[in-house]
This record gives sequence, C-alpha cells and structure tokens, in this order.
Amino acid sequence: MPGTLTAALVQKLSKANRLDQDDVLALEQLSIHSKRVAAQHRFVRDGDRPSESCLIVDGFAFRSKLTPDGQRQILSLHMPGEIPDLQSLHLHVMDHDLTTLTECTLGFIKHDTLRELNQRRPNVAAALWRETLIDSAIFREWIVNVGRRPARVRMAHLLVELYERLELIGRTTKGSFELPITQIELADCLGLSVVHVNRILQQLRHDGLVATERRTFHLLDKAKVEEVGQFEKIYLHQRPSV
Amino acid sequence: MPRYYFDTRDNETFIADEIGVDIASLEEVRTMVSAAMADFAKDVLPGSAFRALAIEVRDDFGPVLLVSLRFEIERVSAQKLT
Repeated sequence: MPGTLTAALVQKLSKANRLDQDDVLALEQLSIHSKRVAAQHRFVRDGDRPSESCLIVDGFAFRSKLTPDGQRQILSLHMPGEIPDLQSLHLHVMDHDLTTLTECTLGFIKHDTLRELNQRRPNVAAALWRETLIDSAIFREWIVNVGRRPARVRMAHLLVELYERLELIGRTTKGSFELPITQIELADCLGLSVVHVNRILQQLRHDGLVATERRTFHLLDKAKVEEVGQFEKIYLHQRPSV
Repeated sequence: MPRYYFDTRDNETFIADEIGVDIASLEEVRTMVSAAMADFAKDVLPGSAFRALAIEVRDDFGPVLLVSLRFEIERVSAQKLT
C-alpha cells in the first residue's frame, strides 16, 4: 500500500516544516524497500559507504561511536520518522555506527532517489536539510549535557527531551512514554557509569518525579523534571520557521 | 546473570537500590562500583567542605562489597580563603 512506509516520515516532516500537498504526495510515492530488523543490530557501520539512507518506520535506534578500548558513547537516539544517516547522501563514508535499540522496521531509500526528490521538490529538500540541522542542534545540547551537567540534571534533561520528541509524533500519553532502553544504554547516552545511572533513577523515583516500569517512563511531575533538567525547548525547533 | 544492588550513602542520606543491575562477575562489579564512586564524587564534591560517601553492594543473599570515600577540606593556615 503506498504511503504505509512513508507515513512516519510525512508525519515527522510536516510537523516542523512547511510542505504543500504535492510535497506530501512526492514523499508518499517514494520508493522504499523495508526490512524488519532485530534489536541490537548494527545496520550501518563506521567506515561503510552507503548507497542508501535509512528511515526508521517503527522502533528506536541509536548512533554511537566506540573508543579503541571498547568504551561506547551513544550520540543520539532516534525514533520513527527520522532518517539518522541522511548525511551519508553527502558524506560518503560513515563516521559512526547506527544500531537498532529495539526491533525495528527500517525503510531504505536509495541516494539517487533522494537526490532526484530534492531536485524536484525544493520544499522537501529544505525540510530534509532542516531536519539534519535540528539533529545537530540536539547534538549541541547533548554535548552540554555530557560535558557540563551533573548526573541528575543530565538524566532529567534527557527524559524531557525524549518526551517532547515523542509527543511531536503522538507517542506519549499523559506524562508517559514507552522506550525500551536498558540502564547500560542510558549510561552510554549520558556518559555515566551504569551504577550511577541506577542511583540517579532511584533518586528521581524517591523524589516522586519519575516512575519506571519495564519499558515505560512516567514523568510524574513534568514541570519539576524540566526544572531539574534545566530544560529549554527551543533547540528542538519543533515548529516551522517563518 | 546475578543481580547486584547498589545502596548509597551521602553523609546522612541513604538511598536504597530497588532496581539492581545484572552483572556477570564480581570482578566486573568491582570495576563498575569504582566508576560509580567516581561519578558520585564528581556530582557532589564541588562546593562541599565535608562529604562521606559510601556504596554498599549486595546481592540476593546479602552484602557483598563496601566502598567508601571521605572528603574533607581543612584550613591549615591563617590566610583567608577568598
């Protein structure tokens, strides 16, 4: 069925960008081949030379880099509607890994197809460019997080960011969101030890701010979690520019 | 994999770990708990004059390791700290 695979992409792009009907139609008619991929599968590797970019249709994925002594830093988390390796269209050698956090449906779009789309639909080209700029705005925030914020602030900041990003694509319910992430993965996002991440989560629970169940995070007092996380939403640029 | 729990003390504040972390070996627990103490200290020492930190590791059968760190700033000259 046309549009099934692209629905997440259309939803994401049309929230933060101005697209007209023809743009949406062009996106819906994109030629995509999909693959169901298990959790923890590295689907693009550091050093690869991809000839296609990969849309997350369903599930979660992350970007990461490994140090030579095996320490992993997770650079960003990705959700449905995002194309985390869009830059491989212009940067031909991958400089980091992309791994599925959960089981995912991935949609592969050929670079030639994307190039043709960008030429034909300037609004779409601008939207994709803008998405990669927002991506780097999020990186900047993560650098501040990992480099300068105490652990409790870091954790609170990350949780609110995830909430806001998931809310945009309609995947939150009353202060809660589902994200099947382990403490080890959270630690690698935050540049902290697993045990300290565990302590911070306990502390946030103890203070009545956050509750966690298997795969669900509940922000019990979202305004307070935002305050703890020194969270300012601007960097997510969730509304189209004028 | 055995599950280990990391209860922490920061001066008088005690936080019990109700979640725990699955860790393959006691050797790994030692490495992980020292990394955790370093994170813990980095968070709470700046701006403090005295801090007694502890991480008490237990498994399902009882206590396993005790890691502690004592931090104190003492004035040893009459010179004013500005």
